[in-house]
Amino acid sequence: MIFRKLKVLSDDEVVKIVEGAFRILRTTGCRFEDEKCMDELESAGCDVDRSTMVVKFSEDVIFDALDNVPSVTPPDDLPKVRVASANKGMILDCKTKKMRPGTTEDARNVIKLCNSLDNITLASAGIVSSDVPVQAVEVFNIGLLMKYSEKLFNQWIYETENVPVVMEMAEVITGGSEELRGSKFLSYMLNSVSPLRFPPKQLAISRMYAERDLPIAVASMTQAGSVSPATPAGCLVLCAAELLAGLVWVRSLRTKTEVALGALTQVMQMRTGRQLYASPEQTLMFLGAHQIIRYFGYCSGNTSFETDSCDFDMQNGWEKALSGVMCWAAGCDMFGQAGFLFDGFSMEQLVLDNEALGMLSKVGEGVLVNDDTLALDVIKSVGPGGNFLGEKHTMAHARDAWRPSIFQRVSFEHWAKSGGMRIIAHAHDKVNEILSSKELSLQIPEDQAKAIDDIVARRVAAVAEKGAC
Amino acid sequence: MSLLEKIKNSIIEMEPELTVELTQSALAEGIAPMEIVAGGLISGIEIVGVKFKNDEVFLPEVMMSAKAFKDGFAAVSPKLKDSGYEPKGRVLIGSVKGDIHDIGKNIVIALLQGNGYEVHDAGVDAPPERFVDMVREIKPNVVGMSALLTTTMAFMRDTVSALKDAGLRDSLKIIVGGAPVSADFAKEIGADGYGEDAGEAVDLVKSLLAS
Amino acid sequence: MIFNKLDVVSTQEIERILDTSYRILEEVGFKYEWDWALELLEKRGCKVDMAKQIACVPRSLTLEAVANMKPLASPQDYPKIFWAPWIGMNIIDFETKTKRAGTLNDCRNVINLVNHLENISVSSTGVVPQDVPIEISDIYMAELLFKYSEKIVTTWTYTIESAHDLVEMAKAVTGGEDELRGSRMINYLAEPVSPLKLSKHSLEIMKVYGELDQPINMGPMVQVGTTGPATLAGSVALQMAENLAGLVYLYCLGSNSPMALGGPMQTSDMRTGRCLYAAPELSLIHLALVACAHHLGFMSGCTSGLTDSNCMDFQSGWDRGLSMMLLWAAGSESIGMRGEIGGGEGFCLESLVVENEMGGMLRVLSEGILVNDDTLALDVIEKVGIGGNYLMEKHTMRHARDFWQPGVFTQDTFDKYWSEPKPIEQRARERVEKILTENSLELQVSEDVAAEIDRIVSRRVKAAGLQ
Repeated sequence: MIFRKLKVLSDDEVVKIVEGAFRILRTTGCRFEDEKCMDELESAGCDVDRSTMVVKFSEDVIFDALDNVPSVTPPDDLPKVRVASANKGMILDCKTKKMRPGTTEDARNVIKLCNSLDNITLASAGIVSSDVPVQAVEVFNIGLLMKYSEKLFNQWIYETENVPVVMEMAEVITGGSEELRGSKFLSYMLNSVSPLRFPPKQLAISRMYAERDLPIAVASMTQAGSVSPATPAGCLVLCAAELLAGLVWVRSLRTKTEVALGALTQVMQMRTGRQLYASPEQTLMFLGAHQIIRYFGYCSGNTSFETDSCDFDMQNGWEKALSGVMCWAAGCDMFGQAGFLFDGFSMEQLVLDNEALGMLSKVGEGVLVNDDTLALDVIKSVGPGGNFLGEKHTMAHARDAWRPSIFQRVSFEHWAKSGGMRIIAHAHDKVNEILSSKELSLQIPEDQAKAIDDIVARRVAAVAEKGAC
Repeated sequence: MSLLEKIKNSIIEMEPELTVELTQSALAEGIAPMEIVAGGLISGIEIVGVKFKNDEVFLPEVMMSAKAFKDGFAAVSPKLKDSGYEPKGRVLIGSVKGDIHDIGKNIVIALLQGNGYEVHDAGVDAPPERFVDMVREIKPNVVGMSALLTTTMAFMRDTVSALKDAGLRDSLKIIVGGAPVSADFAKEIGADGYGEDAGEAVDLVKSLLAS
Repeated sequence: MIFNKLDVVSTQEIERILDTSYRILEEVGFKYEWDWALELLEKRGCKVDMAKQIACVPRSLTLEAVANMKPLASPQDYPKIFWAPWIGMNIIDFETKTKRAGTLNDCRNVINLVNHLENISVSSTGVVPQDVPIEISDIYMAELLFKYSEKIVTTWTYTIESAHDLVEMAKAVTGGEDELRGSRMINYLAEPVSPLKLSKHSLEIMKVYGELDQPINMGPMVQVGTTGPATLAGSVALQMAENLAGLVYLYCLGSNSPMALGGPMQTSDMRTGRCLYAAPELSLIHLALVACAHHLGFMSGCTSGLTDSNCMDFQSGWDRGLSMMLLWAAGSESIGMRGEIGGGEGFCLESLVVENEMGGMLRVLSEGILVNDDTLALDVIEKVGIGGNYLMEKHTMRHARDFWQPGVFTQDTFDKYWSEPKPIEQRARERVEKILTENSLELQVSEDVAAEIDRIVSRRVKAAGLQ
């Protein structure tokens, strides 16, 4: 049996941080940059200043939200290690080591890979296709994912006008607006801009999702040293405050929307101000935020499983493990982005991540303890000094073990003789193998696919027309 | 230690209040404003710049020195008007349309101000038209654009086109920065330069204005 | 505060595994290949078959030994989690993609390097020197470690003669037998041969070190599916039985040696039979072992941080990371910074340097999140307010240098990195060369002690008729 209960804060420390967040929400408050929010939050009992759009929160209001906003329960059929394929702009050309703009062909290829890679739980189109008008690209990608992805998917939406279009597409698939309502087919992430702001567009989009009872992830993107205090504890106070503020707003909408909470915590490189994707302090903050989110009673996610390495090297693998394995050991529900490589997307990285996660999933199966696995009788029959190779018990379990699909287990001589390749070469081969051997096939009936195509085409044309004016 | 030396050190020691106090004393003692700027403020911030490059000081420390410079400069600037002082250059900077992230932009602004540039802020989610209007009004030497998201990056191209269409492109240099942006992308959209972090942005402005 | 509470087995499951271990010792027995030891055990109530050299250890004796033997606590003056480099036969050279036999000079370099790697707390020679007669290479390894290491050391003892020589050297260093007793000069790894056997020379060496109360780590090496059952729980039960067999023997000797339980278990690729250095099952059995050792009140000494990759690529980082992170999360006292590469193919100085950097990151994690009025920063958060930034705050300046800084890891942007790519092997190589050229090995003992150690070595060389 597995117990994933790694903690970096004592219960007292969690309470101290949460009390700090309560104080900040009472004294400083949070700005909701959307007129409608003022009415909504006022009706929920918040102290609203309409001229500055700053909202202050009493303890009662926060507790009311914590008591009444339900947490997302992840679909039970998903494996324990949940990882989404990343959503990025550029894509890596593995040969030239250059990032280039993505194309629709890339998007199809990424979906194909996601279908074939067992340990990637949520699919994505990977990139922003540069051959589709930028305001319509989200709709275009979602169209592809709805048609071809064998898995639930993850696609960010930045354009408010795209939301009704995406809803219409989702209704085609689910069968209608009532069927879509309350399903987990679509979800949205409401992201604060630290410190203590929620921008208008995101609020407007979130409202559209909430009105249909679709799940919302409220996430806080603090960055130690720049938009948040330089101390991890202070960062967590700010993170908790933003999550609670978002939660109160969701509560004020009085819908049945379920919520997950997320920590997209970052650390700034103190030397230059650059954003870092992996650091030990960041891992500590992910772990601390997870405990706080659990204390609130919610499903938790974060942006772990990323790296600052630009290469497929030892640093890359280690940093992925640093945040990914630790968050797993703490019982996080959702990890960061697979296929992510230095703010771009890499199909080879997706394959490597899939392999790595396969190992972690296997660890998640734990150690089975029963009479058969304890094997006392076999140990007795072999006795001191023998060996187990000829035993039936061994035969019966010879295929239990995890087997790599690309990781190498060959001798040094064999490795050196066959060119001394790094794992990236095998990952690249695997990408090519999947792309050349697999076809994308429609996952929905043809009439639905046709309807989706029509909606996408309409949106692309509308954007193009607007651009032409 | 001379007063100018003390001003210089207060910047290196990251003490904005002290810089202002010393600058005011220097003015009261009748030291020429130009001399205070050149011999005190600028020589201080230049040393900090070198230390920053050599990884001896970290960004928050540079920012504090930059604040000391900026505050000291504000104290002396009313007196500078008569002395014919010109800022090193005028920069307009903003986060492009769709992007509501401003931390990167704000760091660059602080460092540029701390290096003696006059900086105007176009804010966040700034549409191409806002850039055009502000360029007409301010007449900057350099326009800087920032984007954090890959989807908003595309608006950098639109902004460059808008400046071209308005006939303003040739009068200024355009620089871009932000997590998803690269030197290739900068070239592709017709910008004059790309800075990979705030320190590089300052160097970039310096070299573009020198050329 | 950190609570390392990753568990892969419940308390009930641990007890079931240990119950199986007790039953193995009682019902199957353990082969002690030294009559002297068998007689000792018989006197303490074991049922002994002298012809087969098997002693069946009653559960009561095992439990008595567990209750009375002293656990090896982590040295207070060293960080708790970072263990010794591995000791291999070969040195790996990345530039030429070749491996070659280790030499005395390599041993010196490894000791020199470890002296300057701040996150590695125990030293070793990294390789077995093969430019000296191999049968007494353990003496040369001990000589170099005792003379030059600034840290606690771990090394190998091949024979009873070597054990006596090592004791004599250690006495010279500490000042005498009383000073040596209870010190941590010799950390012996006792290696039962799985399944269920301790050789005569291991038993003899354990007696020598045990009587001087030197720390003894039990290091059986059950391999799932070959020298142990193909199921994880059974192999762990067997591994613990072998651990306990050593513990019972030392208890019967009257030794006060502090002990660590665990040891390097192994799995193999069931297709090829190749022994694996990284696999999810390997992590699982080590996690279960840590749980069993802790349940009995002992420190766990398991291996981690190894890889099957032959170079410093993604696989090598993930393999090491997975096993180290899991053990850390489970609260294991020792986590490997091993310098090993390619499934035990050889030792690699570059890798050790990178692993040291990994250790630095783990050390930051171990420090946890400090929660107090200053770090909670409520006043600063209120002051900055909504939409501002923290860069110009005194609080930020004060803490700007709290953050971990990389050495060989890169935080460059993609364009910058690939404009002049310098792979991690090369960056690590430069760090190795810098450390080795800037620092020469310095004697950590007085000239007199060094001379005494040299005398013991040359006496042994002569006695063995070797040169």
